[in-house]
Amino acid sequence: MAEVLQATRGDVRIAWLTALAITIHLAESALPTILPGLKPGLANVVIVVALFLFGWRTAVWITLLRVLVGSLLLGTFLTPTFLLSLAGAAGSLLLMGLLFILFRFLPGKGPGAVGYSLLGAQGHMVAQFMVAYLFFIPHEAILHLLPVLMTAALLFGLVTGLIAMQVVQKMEAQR
Amino acid sequence: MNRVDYLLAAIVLVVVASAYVIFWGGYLRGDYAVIKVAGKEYETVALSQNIELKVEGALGLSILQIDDGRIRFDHSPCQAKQCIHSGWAEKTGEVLACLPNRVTVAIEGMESHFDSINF
Repeated sequence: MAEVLQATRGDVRIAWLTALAITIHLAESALPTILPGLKPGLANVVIVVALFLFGWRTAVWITLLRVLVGSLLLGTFLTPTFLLSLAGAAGSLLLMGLLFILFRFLPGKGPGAVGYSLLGAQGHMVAQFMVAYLFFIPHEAILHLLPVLMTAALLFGLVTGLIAMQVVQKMEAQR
Repeated sequence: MNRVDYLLAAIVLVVVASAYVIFWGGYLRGDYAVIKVAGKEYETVALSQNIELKVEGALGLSILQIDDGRIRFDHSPCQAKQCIHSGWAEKTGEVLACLPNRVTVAIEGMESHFDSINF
């Protein structure tokens, strides 16, 4: 007997949110940048909101699917850009996941969307930078760029977090 | 935003600030310069001397000046003189280059700028 795979509500939710994240990612990739790799990362709004409302597992699915499908649509699949993108995604998921798990065991209210976003942005930047340094430009001089990029990550993380906070508030009010 | 958010923001701020201190502060001056012509090692000179150095490149003679622990291109046969305009180099990891003449100068040190880097 052939088994029929039924898409659960969770699957459909992941699909919707992923589509949204990819759309934002594509729109953003059309924007000009001063430095390669320096982007606001607005797709992370979707991921932070998902992490908040539906948990870490959903956030991981959306992020990885976004990286994969985004790279296929932009034609960067398996290129250095893809590798950097994946490393950044992994870095931010790792930090946000640790934070998520940490506050499950701690009493009291955990961090809000801004806290997650700030940490995620740093994780993204540092992981991406490490890959760039180790595989593409292993020269000491580029380490001088790291503080500047981390500052940019701080600002973009803050902006993304504030937007995500608004979205979470609106969505929780509607429930 | 709640208290935990502010705490996390403060931690991130401290980490970013310390990144500036670690990666921008306390430069170590380089000890010697590795000069290459067309990618092949030409000469390694200590920076602890005051001399002029003539390097035969693809176009002609590049004259490098070493003075007080630093080095620069003083004369170059190239057209744009980018190498001269890039000025002095003294820190470990800095690189001067004259692409038309195919001369590069990389500063290196006995001690690395960083104690250790772990990934």
